[in-house]
Amino acid sequence: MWKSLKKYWFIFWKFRAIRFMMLLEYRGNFWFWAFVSLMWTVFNFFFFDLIIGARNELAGWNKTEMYVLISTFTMLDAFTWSFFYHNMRDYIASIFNGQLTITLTRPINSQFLLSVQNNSYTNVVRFFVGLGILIVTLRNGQIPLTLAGVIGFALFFFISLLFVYTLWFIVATCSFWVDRLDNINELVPSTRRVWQVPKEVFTGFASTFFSVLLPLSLIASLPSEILLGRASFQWLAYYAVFTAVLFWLAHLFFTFSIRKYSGVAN
Amino acid sequence: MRRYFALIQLWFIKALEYRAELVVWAILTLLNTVILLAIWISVFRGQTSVNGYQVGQIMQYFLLVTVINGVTASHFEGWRSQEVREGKIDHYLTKPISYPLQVLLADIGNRLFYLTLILPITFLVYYVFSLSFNLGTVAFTPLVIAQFIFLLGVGYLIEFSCAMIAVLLSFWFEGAEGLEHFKWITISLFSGFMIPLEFMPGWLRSAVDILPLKYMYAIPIQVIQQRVTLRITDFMYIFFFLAVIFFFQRWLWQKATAKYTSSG
Repeated sequence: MWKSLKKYWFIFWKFRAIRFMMLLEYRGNFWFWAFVSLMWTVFNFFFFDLIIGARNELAGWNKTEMYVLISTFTMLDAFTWSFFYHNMRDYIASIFNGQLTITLTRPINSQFLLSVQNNSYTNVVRFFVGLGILIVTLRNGQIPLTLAGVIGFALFFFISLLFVYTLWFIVATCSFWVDRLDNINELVPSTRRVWQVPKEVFTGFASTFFSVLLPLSLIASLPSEILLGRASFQWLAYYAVFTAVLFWLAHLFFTFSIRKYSGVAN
Repeated sequence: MRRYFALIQLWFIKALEYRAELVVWAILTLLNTVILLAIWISVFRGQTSVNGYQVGQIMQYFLLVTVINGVTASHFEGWRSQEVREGKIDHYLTKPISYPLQVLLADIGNRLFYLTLILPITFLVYYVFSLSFNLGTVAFTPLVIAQFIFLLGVGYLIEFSCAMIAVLLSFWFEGAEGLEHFKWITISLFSGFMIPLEFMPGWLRSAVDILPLKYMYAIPIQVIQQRVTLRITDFMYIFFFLAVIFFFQRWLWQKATAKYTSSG
């Protein structure tokens, strides 16, 4: 078990090193896209600043709290575009063009390989900008930080990443069941605006849907609530259990769907 | 003219081939509209009006944004730029219609199919929201309709020109498709696409007043809501801007043809 984990850990970082070498090869590309991602970050903060400016709050979240939320969203978004987007795009493409055969014949867990083999470093800047704004907001807003709060934030930040990854993986796995749908990879990132706002923005059926049935609105809200000291244990427990079950279902769905795959040897 | 209509028809049929993808785009567009509406409804929670807007009016604003976006938005710069970089546009160059014109006709064909999808769904959403909210009246006098249709055309030409310039720049720059992000941000910020003019701070409002992008979303909606009517100076400014952007594209295309190389 330990040996196996060590092997996966080594492979994970080997892929990161390969991607880093590719980054050094196309440095101009890196700076260009880093600038684009930074522009989007600035735009997001600016847009919500204007909206909050109208009432000095949004769904019961004041400006400081909203900045914590948007910073958390920004850091999550960095992973979305750096990691998930590229791997899921390659996964979907490999199903459609038959190159999945190569992955399936490797002596390693296929889901792991499909999920980690690619990444981009262009959004690293976005992550650190989000982190920086988060720290400054917490300091300027005089929000008391506790060790438990920081650990809880880190834990639920990771759970949110796992949730986004799992949801995306399930959607990508649907590619086994459709003939050709090139924009299937855009489905999950297109819902990002749901988790860019506090969960209280949604009311009625939308609230039930986005908080309970498909808890997209909890992705950035819950880690932020932990830092702000307003998280509810019921929501945290529900979200953690939901993510764990979804992760298990994603694996089952993958192993089931893979039977549908056919491709000539490459 | 017949060959132009033939090309539009061809791309309409090609769009039919990828109808599932277009359905997904239509759903995502509407999802984003609904989320944006939810955000704005929460801004109005407990208030009857904010910055001169009532909740129904702001909802009407963003539903009209969706309609205008469905008609005018062009998203071809990504794959067209890739085609240019990979030297896959040879077959366009051998046809007796210029490449930019072929791209325009193709985009019109695609857009016509997309419109048949998005417009009925948007009107359905509009109707559903109108049952719960007072969305205000929409004026359909001939003058308003004429101005609105004219501005839709202007909006489309501006969107198309920006996308086309990004494609033409890919003859020189590798990351030209990234320019679409600049296009999105600029349009989102300066056209009233995401923020109505009344919610903008003074400095942004001044910039929007100077730039022509307001004719894409903010002004057409204000025309429909009978808040403004176009003046002769507006027409002069629009025609001047479109002429500038047209000649710039033409100049870029002339330079690009001298730059392009491919094999095979």
